[in-house]
Amino acid sequence: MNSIATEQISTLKMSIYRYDPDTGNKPFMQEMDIDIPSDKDIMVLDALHLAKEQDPSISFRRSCREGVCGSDGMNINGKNGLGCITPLSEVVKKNKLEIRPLPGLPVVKDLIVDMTQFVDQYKKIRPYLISDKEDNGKEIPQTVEDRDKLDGLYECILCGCCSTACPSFWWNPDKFLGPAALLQAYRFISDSRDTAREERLDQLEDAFSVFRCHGIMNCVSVCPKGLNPTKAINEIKKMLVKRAL
Amino acid sequence: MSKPPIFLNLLKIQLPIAGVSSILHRISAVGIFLLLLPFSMILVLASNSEEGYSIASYLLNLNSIKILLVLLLTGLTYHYISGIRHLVMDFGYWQTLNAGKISAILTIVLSGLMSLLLISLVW
Repeated sequence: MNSIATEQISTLKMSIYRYDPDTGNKPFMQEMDIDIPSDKDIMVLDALHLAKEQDPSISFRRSCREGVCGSDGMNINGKNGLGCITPLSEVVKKNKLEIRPLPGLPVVKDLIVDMTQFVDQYKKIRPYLISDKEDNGKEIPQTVEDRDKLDGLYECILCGCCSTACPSFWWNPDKFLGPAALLQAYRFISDSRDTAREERLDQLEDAFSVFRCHGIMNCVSVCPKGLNPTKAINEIKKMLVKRAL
Repeated sequence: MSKPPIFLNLLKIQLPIAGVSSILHRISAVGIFLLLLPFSMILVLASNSEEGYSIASYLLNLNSIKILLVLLLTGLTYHYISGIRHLVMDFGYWQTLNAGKISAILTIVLSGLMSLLLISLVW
């Protein structure tokens, strides 16, 4: 019996991707009926916790439960998103909720994926400020206008929803950097304090790193922070083309 | 240790309309690749001799060939319109989610209408 402090209860049909490496069995979808409050909207993560009360072996990552840590990226009724900030009312269709792990990455257990490929691509873009100016221990000044250029870029929480929704990343996770890494690449290329702009662009000038993006905008449609990696990628492409001309 | 599974069942993953438009762009390219050569050969045949013209004319009156011709022309139309959409995006326009959706829908609808026109012209 689920412990919900409410009087109005309805039943939600949940279907959860299960995989346990210790059993050696193939992944399967576990069907569960979950009692949820019908007088208020709860998040997908709350529903997962209710499912876990029924079956404590269900595994998933979560931490802040407010869309900041990016731990609980998952595929919710076919669309990637963060469980903690996705209300059931937005995703449940015909009273059914299907939860699967982020697509394209190796599954460690149930909804937990191995993010190594994703993080490796992030590391490649050197996600830190590079400056050849002498470090005098003080801040590097930046104009308000230059700082504004970072808006819409720095907010990424690296949840992986975008890159794992991108077919180009599915087929070439080791060569195509993916929307998350490219958004961050553009974040540092745009930073007026960074002096490695040309080196960063050199690193991206091949057929795969950036140019495998075909602008289908899956990344934009799933980003839980409302960011636009497609636009950032197009800006990088434009810079590379301008340099080549 | 066995290789870990990867969830990548494309039937269970939502594909936004812009993604559908992109897949159609590729499918149309494959269609054009396969059909352009045979129809170019018919064109060469038609322009080489009177007899060749008669054979080409006979072939182009067959319903099966007409269907293939419509497919080729539809593919070309779609590829052309979708290509323009991509070029516009490359120049930095239509980059918001909404604009991407609308331009993808327009590409598909416009190509559909052109296809209907082509069908009426071919038959």
